[in-house]
Amino acid sequence: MNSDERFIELWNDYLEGDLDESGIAELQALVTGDDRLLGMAADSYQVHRLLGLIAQDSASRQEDFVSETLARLPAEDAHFVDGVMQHLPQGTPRKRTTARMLLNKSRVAIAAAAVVVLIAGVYFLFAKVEPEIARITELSGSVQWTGDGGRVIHDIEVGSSLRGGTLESLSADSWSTLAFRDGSTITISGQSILTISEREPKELYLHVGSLSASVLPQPTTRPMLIHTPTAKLEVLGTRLAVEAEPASTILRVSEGRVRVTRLVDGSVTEVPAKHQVVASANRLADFSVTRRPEPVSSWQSSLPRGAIYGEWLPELEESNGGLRATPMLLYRQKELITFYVAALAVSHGQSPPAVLTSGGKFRVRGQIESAAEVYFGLTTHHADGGFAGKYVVARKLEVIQKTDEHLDVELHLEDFKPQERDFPDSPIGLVLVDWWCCTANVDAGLSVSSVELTPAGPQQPEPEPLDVSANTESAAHKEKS
Amino acid sequence: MRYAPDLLQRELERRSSEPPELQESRLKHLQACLGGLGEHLRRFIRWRYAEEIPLEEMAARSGRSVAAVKKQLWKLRRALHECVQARMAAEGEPS
Repeated sequence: MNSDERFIELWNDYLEGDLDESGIAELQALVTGDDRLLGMAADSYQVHRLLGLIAQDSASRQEDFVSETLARLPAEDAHFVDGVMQHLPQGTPRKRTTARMLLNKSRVAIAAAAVVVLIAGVYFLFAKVEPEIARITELSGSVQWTGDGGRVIHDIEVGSSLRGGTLESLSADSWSTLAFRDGSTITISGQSILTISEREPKELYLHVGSLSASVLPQPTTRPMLIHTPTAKLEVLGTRLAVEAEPASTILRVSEGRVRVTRLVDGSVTEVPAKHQVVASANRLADFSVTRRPEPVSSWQSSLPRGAIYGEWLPELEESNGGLRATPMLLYRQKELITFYVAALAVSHGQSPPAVLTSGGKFRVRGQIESAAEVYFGLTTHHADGGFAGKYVVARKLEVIQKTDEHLDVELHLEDFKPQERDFPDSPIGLVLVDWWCCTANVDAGLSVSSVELTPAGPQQPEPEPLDVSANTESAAHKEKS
Repeated sequence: MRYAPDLLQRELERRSSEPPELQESRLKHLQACLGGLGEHLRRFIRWRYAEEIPLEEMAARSGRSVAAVKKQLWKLRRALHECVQARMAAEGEPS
């Protein structure tokens, strides 16, 4: 390393406040008798100062700056450099304290006024290029952003730049992915609310709902922080999925490690890859890290447990209980639509992940009061964690009054189509996270009493419908392709 | 032995004797020079001065070493200084 390179290194360290005493001595030795290096240092300092000045981006700071400068100048006018050098042994504080003007005392008032006028203009340059905390890279369905002092944007779009604020995925079939500047990505899906802090390091608040994250390595002293109602997660670089509810948080880690603090008692644990933990609001609940359960290819709902959206109608003498689709007002392509939605959680909590396998099918039973086009949907994750996609299939259902409005529908997995082109073509091989059904702008009196996922295979006996006769023709609700 | 602080002070005093109009002009030119930087370079200035992000974080974000980030900042300050000087010279202003 030649003397110029060494000078540059030392001078940069000085400007960053990172120079120790031996470095200062070395810097002094280098510039002594070398006017060229001295000039370079002065040039650099001058630009450094002006850039720092520009960055003082509020009117109050500008006013503070002028008064501070005016008040300080008598001492600085003659002893500026000595002052700087006296500070060196302690390390020059980096933040704002290097903001000192190089103006002659007699010209300060005029110059400071000019500077203030200029800052307003210069600030726009910084403001114009001010980076986002993150950017929306993908979204589908009803996703809403509240930021900028409380301004609500219903129709936020891909490419939208985000600073501090709250991102809400409003419906069972909605989701959004945002990317941070370092390439880390976060996806929320279903009904989820995520607040992004303006502060560094990356700090997120998952108030409720599901989040999956692919986090690139973070500085060890500045992990990504994810807060939930019951836990704090410190993430240095990993892939993970989080589900947050008011009373508990479940964390599943696919890669890397995540440090978890249970808020109720301050207990801390680390969750390695392929493991999970539940942080409950109940201090007596188990907080041990367990291996993620092996996937299964069949699943049976156990309503009302697992209901995400809808109204549970208890069992009556003549009918099973059912999860009634209830209205949800959502924007779709800037149009307000009422969806009547019933949604269930599948691979949630401690339950094993339900994998969708080729030839598998759903059997849905419930009721419907009037003919309608019903949309059935799936939210999926990749087998090793992380959001994979949403899939949907539509069925026109007719009412057959004589069968007491019962519904019994089979849905083959191969019939489900991706909601977005970027999703895998088929849900086969993915983990089913949520299941939902809905009608749009029509309350068809839809309710679901059970949903069953069965894999293909001759060993699988065809289940008997519960509420209809064995006669196919008289089966409760007949699909119309 | 000549003291470096004296030398630096002399140089800074020379610059501080600039008339206020020149200070104003220097800021204006710096604004223009910043605008002329590519976004991939301007982000270093933004991180360092507007957001006050630590060098380690800047290094992580840019996929470089801390030393490389320091060097980049030095180059940028140097380039901005030369840009300002060139613009002032083009307008016949003393620099």
